[in-house]
Amino acid sequence: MLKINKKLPLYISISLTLICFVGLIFLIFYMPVFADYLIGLPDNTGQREHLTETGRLLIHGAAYAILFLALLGDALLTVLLLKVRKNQVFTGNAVGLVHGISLCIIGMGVIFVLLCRFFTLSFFVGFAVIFLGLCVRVVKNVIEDAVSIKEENDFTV
Amino acid sequence: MIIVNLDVMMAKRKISLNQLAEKVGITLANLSILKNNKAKAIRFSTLEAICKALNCRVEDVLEYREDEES
Repeated sequence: MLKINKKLPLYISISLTLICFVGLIFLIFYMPVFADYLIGLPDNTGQREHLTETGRLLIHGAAYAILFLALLGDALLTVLLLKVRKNQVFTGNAVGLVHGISLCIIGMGVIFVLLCRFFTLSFFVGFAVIFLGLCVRVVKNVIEDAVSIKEENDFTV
Repeated sequence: MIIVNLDVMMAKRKISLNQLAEKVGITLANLSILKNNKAKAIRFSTLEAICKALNCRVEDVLEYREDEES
């Protein structure tokens, strides 16, 4: 029978996170083109919205803010996965990392919601992203509790 | 808070940490945690073994002190 390495899923996660990081770096250079494409899309009435230069700059700024938060979150995720590899999951440090990731996700969600002035769909995307951030926050609370239980267990003589 | 007076009792009985760890049957690391008041809990079996090894009572090893904050 084929024997699968116990740590294989972890290595797959690390690889995917790194690929995602490279993708996000790549996106830094193409974000203006991507944002302009989104601005150029017709709305639900089939018409293109006419944006002022300030509006266009605002969308570009928001896109870069989302990208920055995604890069930060991805970096934190990589550090967390490396900690998992070293069997250091249930530590205060790991809790801090998960907390940071949840804040990044919620931050991205808030920016998406604020963008609903320009794109109606971004409100729903933002809501979904905020919900995801809340889920990660709950996971952080669970790990925090597990850390305290483990500490008590480790210091029982 | 609970204070572990293991170092006092060890000094009275003139016994080293290594010797006590061997007599009690716990690791040196765990005994160090207990001696330095880092322990969060202690098993009855460990307490019993310590009292037996040091020939003392529980209150000689453990002491309750009111927190300074309260």
